[in-house]
Amino acid sequence: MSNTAIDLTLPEQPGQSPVTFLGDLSDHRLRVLLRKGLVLETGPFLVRILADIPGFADTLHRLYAQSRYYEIDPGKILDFHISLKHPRGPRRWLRKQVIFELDGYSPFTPFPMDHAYPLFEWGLNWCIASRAHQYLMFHSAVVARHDRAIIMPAAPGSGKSTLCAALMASGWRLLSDEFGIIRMDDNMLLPMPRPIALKDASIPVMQRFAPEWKMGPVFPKTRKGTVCHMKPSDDAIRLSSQPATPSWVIFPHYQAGADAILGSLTAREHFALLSGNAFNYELKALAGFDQVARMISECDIHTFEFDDLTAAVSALDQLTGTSRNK
Amino acid sequence: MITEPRWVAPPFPRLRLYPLGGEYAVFNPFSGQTHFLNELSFEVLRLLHESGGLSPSQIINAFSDGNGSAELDAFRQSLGTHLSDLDELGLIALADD
Repeated sequence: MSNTAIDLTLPEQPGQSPVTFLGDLSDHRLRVLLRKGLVLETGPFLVRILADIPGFADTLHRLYAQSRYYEIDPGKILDFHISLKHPRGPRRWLRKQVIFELDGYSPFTPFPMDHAYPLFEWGLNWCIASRAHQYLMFHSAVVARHDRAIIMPAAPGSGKSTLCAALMASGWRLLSDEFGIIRMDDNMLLPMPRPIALKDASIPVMQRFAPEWKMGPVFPKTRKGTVCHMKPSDDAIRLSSQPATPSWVIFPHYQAGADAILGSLTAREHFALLSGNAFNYELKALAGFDQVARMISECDIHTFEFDDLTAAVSALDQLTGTSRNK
Repeated sequence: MITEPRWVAPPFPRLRLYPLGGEYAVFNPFSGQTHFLNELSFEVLRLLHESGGLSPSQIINAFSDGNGSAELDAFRQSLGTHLSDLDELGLIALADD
């Protein structure tokens, strides 16, 4: 029997643990569970998170409030075991740092303690990109309406996350701001709606575009500049087990002063761009080739230059023949 | 008498092809690489596959309809480049004759 003032032992639960939402927890309870290890459901992945870092739980609580979590074994194989830890040595106390571990291995150098939350998001991205090879994965944002998806493959700095955020704020369902996850069995895009990472100038742009939208804290001077995360919509989380059909491929490119113009390239250029933006295209070999060929055949494909987000959203609404009220 | 080398291509079913409006995406399962061929390179590849292997002269004869033409002359001059490129991509090889 425990003699400690606070009993951290969870009662044994018969069968599978009940599914509950992170937002149902108190801040204190969430911190307790994170110290023991909490399993978070994000799209097709179950992620066990072990963390005892100041501030991390609060941000997680704010941005994943509608996400499901499990206190104990959910009865399924967990995809990733992630820890956010204090390093050994003086950096535990002086100019404090945090390290990210996956299955006990640290793939990154330590981050400043204040950047624990962005480190978690980037680390989880790394885990998925390097391990989830049961899927074909594009470096892309994905949004959907009526279960038909726009996939937006693009290199960093193209404006895809900002455009994705604007589309979400305009009623499109967020599947992901970072990954186009194709389930190979049926060629469907799987949702993984996580907070959208905005950087530098995109932050005030989105604060003006969607002033009432819930955002996380601003993290200045990270390795990727100033970063802030936009909470996924409630609909995105509620429908996170609802796949979408790839219907449009849009290659976005933010260009200051540009009108929202859709263009096209040759079929070869489309194929090269799409396959080049797949994290694991070569690893998937013939299946990857066939999937890209299928998307070239079945999707409406365009390049897209944009500046003003309202015009950009309107252009994509028109292209897809959809609107919020349809 | 000096005989020309013959070029051969792997069987087509082992290469996955996808037409791209006058060009072709080609997946080579031997290398795991994807390549893009223009129509002429694709036709050379297809000819080598169907024939079981041809020398450069035989390839030119196969493309000729018996009449000389500027196009055929240009093809004759560029054939070496096409064969070299296809060889470098691992899509064809010299026959072990």
